[in-house]
Amino acid sequence: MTDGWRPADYLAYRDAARGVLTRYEGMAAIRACGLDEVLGDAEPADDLTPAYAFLEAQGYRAAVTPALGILGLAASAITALTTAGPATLLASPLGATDVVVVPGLLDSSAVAVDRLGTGLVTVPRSAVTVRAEPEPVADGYLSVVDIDLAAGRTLIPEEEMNGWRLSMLGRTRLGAAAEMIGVIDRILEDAIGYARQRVQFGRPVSGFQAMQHLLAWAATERHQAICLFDLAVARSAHGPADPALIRAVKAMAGRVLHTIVQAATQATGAISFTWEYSLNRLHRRGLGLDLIAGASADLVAEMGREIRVLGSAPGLIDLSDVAPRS
Amino acid sequence: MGIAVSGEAPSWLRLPEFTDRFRQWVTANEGQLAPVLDIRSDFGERVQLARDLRRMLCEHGWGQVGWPVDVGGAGGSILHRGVIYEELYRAGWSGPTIFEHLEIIAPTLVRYGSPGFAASVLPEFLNGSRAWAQGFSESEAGSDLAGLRTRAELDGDAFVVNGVKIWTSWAKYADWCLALVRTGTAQERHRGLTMIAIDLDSPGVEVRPIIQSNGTDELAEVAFSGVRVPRTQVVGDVGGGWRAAMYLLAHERGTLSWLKQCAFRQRIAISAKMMREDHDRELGGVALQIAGVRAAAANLLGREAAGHELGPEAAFNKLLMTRTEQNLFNLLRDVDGVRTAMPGDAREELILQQEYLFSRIVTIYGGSEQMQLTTIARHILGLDND
Repeated sequence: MTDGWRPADYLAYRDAARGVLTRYEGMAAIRACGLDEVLGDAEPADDLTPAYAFLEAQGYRAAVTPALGILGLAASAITALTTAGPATLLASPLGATDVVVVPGLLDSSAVAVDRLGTGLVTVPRSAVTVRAEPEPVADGYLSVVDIDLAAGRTLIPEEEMNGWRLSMLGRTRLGAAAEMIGVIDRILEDAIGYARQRVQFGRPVSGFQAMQHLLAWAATERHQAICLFDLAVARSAHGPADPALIRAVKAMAGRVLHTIVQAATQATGAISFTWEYSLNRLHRRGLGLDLIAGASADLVAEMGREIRVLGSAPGLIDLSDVAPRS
Repeated sequence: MGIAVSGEAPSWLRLPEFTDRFRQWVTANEGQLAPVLDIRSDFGERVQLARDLRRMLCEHGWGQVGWPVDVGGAGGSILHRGVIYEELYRAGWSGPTIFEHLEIIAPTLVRYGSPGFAASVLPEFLNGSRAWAQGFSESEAGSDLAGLRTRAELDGDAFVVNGVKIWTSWAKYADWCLALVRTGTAQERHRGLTMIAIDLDSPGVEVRPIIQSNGTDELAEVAFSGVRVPRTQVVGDVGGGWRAAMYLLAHERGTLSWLKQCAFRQRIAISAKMMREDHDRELGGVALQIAGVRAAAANLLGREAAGHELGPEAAFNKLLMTRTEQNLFNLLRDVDGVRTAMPGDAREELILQQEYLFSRIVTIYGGSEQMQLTTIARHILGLDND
């Protein structure tokens, strides 16, 4: 995709991570990108932009690392990550259910879960049971887990959770959005590549206006998602971003993802409905990511309710966000 | 308020400070502003109020901000203009009517007009005393703009223009028309076009307003019969009209989307009051689309302020803006169908219907939706017809 309108330094990191993720996975990929220093517990960085760029690359590659679960706990003074020891990963609620999932769960991962009324509880890996998925498994990135809280210890009690809860939610939402944008890019690029080489009526189908317009609409949807996302990431680099902005980014990424999947399915035809075609795994990952920390359908309804009740639509961003730095 | 117009940019031109200062001015001048921000259903009255507002902004030094000093501005960038528009909408403004052309035509005058010509016409455009129309489309040249036939022949130090433009926005209310005319042969297509500024008071100009389906007369047919236009009023190079036109259209497609999303936010806030709980998801969906228009517009304005030339990506903004406008008014029609279909005398109801009907054709002006999609497919995605 042409990306001349995105921040160059962000893209440089993302592209480097895309390269790393072709060779490494899991914690090795995180360390190879230096993300352990960004997310590490000793001196957590204020600016988590590299983590979002990494997650976007991860979505693009459909790679599996625990970065999203670690990100949720970053900067929380919790032993989230050490270069030598096991990571603690944040389990996130799935949609409006009590079900929680852990992205990129490792055999050695401890898991932290936020329980309303109790606070943030961490349990060892032995107290985490992964619910078996029907075979064959298309992706395996998101693990639905049951957690034995009796084996846990409270890291942050409920009465101290207010600030943590919001920041964990914000990081998880922005991280999931980053990953969905990577998924979106890969799906769109694959669809464009397919349209260029698929010949019907004696010429590539990309030459037909109906196909061009289908893909152009998909690119337009993607454009609004990256513009909103990039502004939210830039804001988060300079302090806590507005929760309403992050909610909109997460909702936008989810809505656009579903639209892009449909466009790509139409563009690639019957092959898109096969198990082995790349769209299958990416689509399934996107479906799961959309549900993490608030499904787009619910977030959109929440936005509508607020506007109806308050009688105003928040601006979310302003022109100072895009003013050239002097 | 005095504004420095030369030397180093004052610190208050930094955007947060500028926003605060303008907001304070709006609050302090609420009484004076109220009459010119008033909402009117009569189009002529609305245009007059837009002129009055431009004059007032210039009298207080705000109207020149965002334009280059050497053409009568006070410095600053498109971002400053964007802030002013947003704050005016926040104060209850219903929009610039004819002066939306400031954001479409004036950047082209500044970029492609001779410095002397731009400096001679821009101050009066800024202060509302002289307005501009855009003369591109013809009956046989809509989406196929390069097929236009209005001719301009050089005769001494003037071009003589003959032909008919149609769908010329705001021509009834305008004093100038920035027209795209053919100075080369028909076979040269877009390479034979020139952009030229025509004084609509010139002998041989006839403006015939077109009453639209929403009852307004924003559009017109403009006939040119032997109209003499000084050569100094060529905007860009002779034969270089296409390049200038693409620059103008990028602003029409892109910059305008910032103005429009301000209006969408105002409209959705007003209308949300009459919605029920079961509208939440659709309302939120439209609000999310508005957020997308806003973010894409901010991205574009930021790059323009940083000195980037706008390119085909402005088509993204046009598509997002027009799709959102239609979805917004679809929602309002579904929620408030009676007032949309059969408004009473109240001006708010008349305007709602005017805007609803106008929203049906927003995917046509400034390059149809299909042309925008083709632009993206070919120039951004690299898909061709091979």
